[in-house]
Amino acid sequence: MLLSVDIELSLKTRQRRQAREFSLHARFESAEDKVVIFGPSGSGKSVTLQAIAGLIKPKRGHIRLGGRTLFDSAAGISLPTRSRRIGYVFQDYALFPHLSVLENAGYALRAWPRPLSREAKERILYMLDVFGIAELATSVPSELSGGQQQRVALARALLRDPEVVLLDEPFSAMDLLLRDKMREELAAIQARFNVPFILITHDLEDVRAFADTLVIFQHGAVANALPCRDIVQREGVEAWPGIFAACGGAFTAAAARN
Amino acid sequence: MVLTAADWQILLLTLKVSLLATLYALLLGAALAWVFARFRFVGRDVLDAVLTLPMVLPPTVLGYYLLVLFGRRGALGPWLEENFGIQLVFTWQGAVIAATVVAFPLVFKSARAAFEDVAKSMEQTARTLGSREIGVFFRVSLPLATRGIVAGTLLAFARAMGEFGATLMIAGNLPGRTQTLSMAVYDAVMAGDEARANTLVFLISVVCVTILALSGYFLAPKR
Repeated sequence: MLLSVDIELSLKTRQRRQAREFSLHARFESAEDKVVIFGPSGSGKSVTLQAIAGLIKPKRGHIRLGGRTLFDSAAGISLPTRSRRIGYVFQDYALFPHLSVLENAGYALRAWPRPLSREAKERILYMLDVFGIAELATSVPSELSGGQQQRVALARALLRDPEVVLLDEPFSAMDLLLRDKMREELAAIQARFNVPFILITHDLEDVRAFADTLVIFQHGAVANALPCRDIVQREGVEAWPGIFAACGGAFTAAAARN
Repeated sequence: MVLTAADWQILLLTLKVSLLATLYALLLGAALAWVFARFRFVGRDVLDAVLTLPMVLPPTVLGYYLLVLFGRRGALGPWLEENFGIQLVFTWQGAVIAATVVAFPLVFKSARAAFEDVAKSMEQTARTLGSREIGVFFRVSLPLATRGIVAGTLLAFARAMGEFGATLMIAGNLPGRTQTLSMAVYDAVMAGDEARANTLVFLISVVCVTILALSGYFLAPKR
């Protein structure tokens, strides 16, 4: 998947009653299917993800994905979120509490206000089966464990037929054992559906597990973009400590700034 | 306790007036609540204060405003009568307007809080899944805000049932035409008819307790 991001934006935030301005200038490219955006909190990685999804509109720049231009300020293009064909998995999964697992997963397949078609239901059940949660189809989200909720959120995003899935710190709310398990699951799902994804994290294990391209953010800008898959192919696993050191640098810089 | 035909007529009129008022307050209140929860615009705080005013102003003052607006020599009254043949002074329709105005803020306030409580990530997820704004509203925002809206609506109905001051100012207290339960109670007490007052008070109490019990049920946290 060809991804090219070059965006500038500034956000007004409030912290302890103090108005602050956060400015972001993110610029990176990737031709890989697994992109990891790494950086400390407040470095702008979440904002970048939201800009790609069209939930925030940058002031200037462009976002291109595959052959499509999602946003281009110079050409006056800004596709609405609903037309971007992007799956978004929020940190808190954002499952609809009033809908069953089946209705959650099939949200995009329902031609509202008509009910779900039989074919759509079969497709949803098949997907739930792939994720091993078919027996939970009639449950509501509050009855599910964290891992099950994430499976539903991911199934829901995939059933939208996205060109890319964006994952916002997908494992941060899980305990360590579950994290490892869900990482393996995500890798297997990615391979099976061959769908590109962009994942943001501040966990080095996610970098090791997923980063074909690694983009390191540091207070509102891209500090480094590394083609990890190429590097590791060339230099072997001995390359990881060097990559991790680059990641650590972003944290040290953030700590020095605060 | 025996209800006379006149008592039934009063109860029916009261229910008719307060149900219609609640319906209008619900539609207006929920729509405006959504707009306020969703958009920032110039004059938002001032408009919010004006819309909440019926909750704090004395009902007689509200009634006076309504007269100024809809009276025979009011700002809108003659226009309404000429173009639509609508007469609000000394009619039950006027009572509906008065009850709508006093009940409105109760729906507006709780619906607004309910819409504001809907997590942004829910609505954004719906958009990433291909929903248009109307789909986001009816499939996500509204269902998630329903409990708050229903609770506010039940309170609004109770408030409309008990409306006295503003209604008296614009619709008057005409037995058989605009006299609602709360006014009939006042008349009965003034006339020293204790038996009748007791009956009417009992009626209005039963209806209001039922509504409050229902709203308690809807306001209680889930599970």
